Amino acid sequence: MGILPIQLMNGLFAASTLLLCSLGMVIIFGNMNVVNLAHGEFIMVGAYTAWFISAVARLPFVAAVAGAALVAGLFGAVVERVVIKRFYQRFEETLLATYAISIIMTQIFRLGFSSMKKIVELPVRGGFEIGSMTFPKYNLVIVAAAATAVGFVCLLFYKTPFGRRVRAIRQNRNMAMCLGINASATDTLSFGLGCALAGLAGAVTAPVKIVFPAMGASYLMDSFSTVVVGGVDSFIGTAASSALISESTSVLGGFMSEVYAQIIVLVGIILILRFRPSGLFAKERR
Amino acid sequence: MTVNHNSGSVLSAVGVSAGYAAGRVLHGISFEVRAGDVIALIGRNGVGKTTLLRCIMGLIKPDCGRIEFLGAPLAGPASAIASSGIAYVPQGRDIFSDFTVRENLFMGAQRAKKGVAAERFDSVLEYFPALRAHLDRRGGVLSGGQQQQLAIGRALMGAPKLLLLDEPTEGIQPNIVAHISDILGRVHESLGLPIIIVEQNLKFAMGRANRFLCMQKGSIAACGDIGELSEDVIAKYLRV
Repeated sequence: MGILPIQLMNGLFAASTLLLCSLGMVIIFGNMNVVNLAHGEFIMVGAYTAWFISAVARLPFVAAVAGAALVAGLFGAVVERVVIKRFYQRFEETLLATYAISIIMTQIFRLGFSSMKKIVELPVRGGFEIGSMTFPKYNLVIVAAAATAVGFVCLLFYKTPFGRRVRAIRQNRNMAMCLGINASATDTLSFGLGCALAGLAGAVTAPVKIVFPAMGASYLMDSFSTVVVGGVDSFIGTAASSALISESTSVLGGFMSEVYAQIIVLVGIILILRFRPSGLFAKERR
Repeated sequence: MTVNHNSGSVLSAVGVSAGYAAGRVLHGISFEVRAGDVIALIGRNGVGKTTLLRCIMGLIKPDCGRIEFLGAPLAGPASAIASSGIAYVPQGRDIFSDFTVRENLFMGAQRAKKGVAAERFDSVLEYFPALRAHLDRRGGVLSGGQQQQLAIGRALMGAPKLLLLDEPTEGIQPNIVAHISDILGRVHESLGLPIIIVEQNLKFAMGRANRFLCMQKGSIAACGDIGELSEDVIAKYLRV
């Protein structure tokens, strides 16, 4: 098997991870216009919840994933009610508040669980072969989880009354309210949903990552750049940009040092945003 | 001005003052909307007509005074006020440009069950048959006249008990203005729906309204039956 197919497969697995980690940000940043610097910490909450449910409570991994989404989502809804809702349309204050939340969350987990790294066992062991190469079977779980999550949020946002309410509020908050939409409750649900998706990402990726209190920081910039390149409020755009960024990094990484590959991809991102500042899949508006 | 709390009162405002951070716009506004009224809210630009509608709709909180709707105090966010039965068609129409015409219309029926909303959808399309050909087009690509019809149709989807219209003829070609006027007449007659119309187009306003409220500098300067809207009032409060 040549190097290109291998790198393409690795790119697919990396893209799925990136997409899972970015979906919540599409809702919170793209649809609610909140720059949530604590996004990575909600992924961390999901990872710790998955560790607790699977390693401490010894429950099945499916329960760990569901529990992680639930815990992160509920926690997110509380954070929105207590903090975020006071700062809508106030960009600088939102940055400071969410940065503070990220630090507080990291320190609380450091105090509660120490800085020791936690291991979440792979729920699916073994590998599968393509040609002469063997890939971990669990990678397929991550790909399936990412595809399911994208399908779920697309259906939710484009085919349900809740999704239409969120999109109406994004387009014109006052008018949405004048039609009887409870914008405040919808905000709480949306933020909670975004955090639940972050928690889900933390749980699904926990078996292939190291779980520790400061793990969130590494997710933030990757998710942010993916969502911006994709078009901010577009799930399909974010899926495409996840694929583009991860496949480029992976394929280039097969032929050169990974550092150079990352630099080239970042330059590519800058060029894309130079010529399409609203991202690849931004909607044309009249 | 005294407010008559008779059984036909739909909306009453007593001593309402409101404004924005930059300053107070409305000063002690009192008026009443009775069942069957179509009120033309007129006045020069910047006298507070739109602010008054926004205040009724809950988009601006009154600093003082009280507004009652169907005998109950009007309070809370715009969503609660909309749910109590007041529909608002703002200046500029505020169509959801990313939604199709069909989606825009159904957005107006937030509290209705599916079957009820479908029935209302059919009757709205009877009022506005021109929308039928555009149901699957995005609202943002419609012409101004089509958007205005869509905005009024969307408001009617909520089966309101009071309709607030802000400058419905602004930027719309004359034949569509006449069409909208006819439709509002039909809606008013068939549903008995009270309407407040903010309007610069006096001919349109006088053709539809049975009463007028004339504003100047944030206060009601004159009011009465539409037949009492004299040349003197028009010259004093409306001509530039």
